[in-house]
Amino acid sequence: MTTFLDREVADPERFSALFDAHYEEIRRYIGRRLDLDVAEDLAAETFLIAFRRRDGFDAARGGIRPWLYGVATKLIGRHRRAELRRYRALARSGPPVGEDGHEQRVVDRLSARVTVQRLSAALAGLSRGERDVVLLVAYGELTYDEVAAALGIAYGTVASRLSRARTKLRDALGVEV
Amino acid sequence: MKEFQLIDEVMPQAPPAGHATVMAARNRVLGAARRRHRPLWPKAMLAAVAVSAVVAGGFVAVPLLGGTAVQTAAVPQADAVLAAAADRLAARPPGSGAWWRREMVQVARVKTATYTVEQRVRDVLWASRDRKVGYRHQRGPAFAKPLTPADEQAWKDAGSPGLCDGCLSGKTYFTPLKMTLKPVTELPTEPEALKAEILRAKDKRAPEAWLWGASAWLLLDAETTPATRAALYRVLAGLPGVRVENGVTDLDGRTGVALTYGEAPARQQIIIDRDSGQLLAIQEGDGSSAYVIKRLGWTDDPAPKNSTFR
Repeated sequence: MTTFLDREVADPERFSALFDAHYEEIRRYIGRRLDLDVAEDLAAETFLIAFRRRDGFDAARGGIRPWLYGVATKLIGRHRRAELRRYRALARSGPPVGEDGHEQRVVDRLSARVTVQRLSAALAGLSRGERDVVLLVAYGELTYDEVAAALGIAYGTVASRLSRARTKLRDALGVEV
Repeated sequence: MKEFQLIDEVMPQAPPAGHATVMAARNRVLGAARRRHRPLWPKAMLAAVAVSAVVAGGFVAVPLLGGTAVQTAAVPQADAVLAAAADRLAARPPGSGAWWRREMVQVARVKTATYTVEQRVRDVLWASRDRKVGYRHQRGPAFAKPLTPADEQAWKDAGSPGLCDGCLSGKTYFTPLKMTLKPVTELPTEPEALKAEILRAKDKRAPEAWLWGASAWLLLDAETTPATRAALYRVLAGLPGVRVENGVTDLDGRTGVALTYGEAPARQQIIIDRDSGQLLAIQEGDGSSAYVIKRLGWTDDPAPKNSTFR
């Protein structure tokens, strides 16, 4: 990333631009893993932590997005049981009705018979580390390098977790994901 | 197909954040960031002005200063200008047509070390008079260019890097806040009643921040009547943390009377046309970003069949 991002992080005036650019994205990411009221709290917390730790931000080790996703993911980790409860609830009863044209997407995918219910159950079956890397790739569209930077783990660890997760998901769903 | 696209497609999305939610989070984060970092005013001066720093339940409101001497002098006139504009707006008929349309341009000015890039995206919201039909949304694509010829030169000198890397992807717009059970067209037109209705909803911890954020949303993304919108101006103008300033220009160069809330970097302005009382823009006080209104009101034009996001 560019030096501009270093400056952006270090300067509280510029931090508002960083907030505006990334808040919604981070809120959405957390909001797909935890209930919305918790997600909104944690999204704000993510930026508070990011600001407090801005001196530790190293642009050379990856960009702003992986950094923010990493902070958010660690916060989500404190709510692991709530996340699992959410998947189990979705596995039982599916998504809330009328949310975001969601039914349509499920219908589109019905040929593969991958429903929210089955996918939620499968995600609950992953280990925490596997789920983190899978969802950073799926929701955040982070590259392997970025996932490694976000979570502070080795590239090889990212690859092996994804490989294990892919096998588990395929076994649970009966399709390649 | 990207990796794990299936998960992205099948798992539920979080609904988009409302303006009020974003404002509250913004105030919380930037208020904390600012206080942590910058002793802006000498302690003696802080004691002399009305500072409201609310810290409760982990929620931190932005401390708000009263107007400076210069602004205080200008306030009576600005207040009168706003009151007259609100009167004219309130007298307008609610309007007819099957759809309410709000067309705006979302603008962001992003500074790099040597140049400023302006990003723009057109955003049209349609709200059907028939609530069962609901909303349509047309957004994008985003355009970006260096702001001035000097910025363009500096950008070229820097090797012409990409201008629009994920720009304006933050979609911080409408969502029904479950703020009120009434249709927004039936919200009170009397300021005190309207204020009570908005406060009934939530966030008693920071009523000012909530009122500001909810009002911005009701002005920008909801088919509120002219009389309710005029009442919103009056509610905001009466808040202790809000200043009324005359002669404020929006990012597209239109001048009006402004309601200003908060201090940099979390300062926002609602800019209002002095003649019609119509909303011109909601923008950051530092000019870093804005929602610039192009058209707003009921129309006989047909809405698009589907929402589009590009």
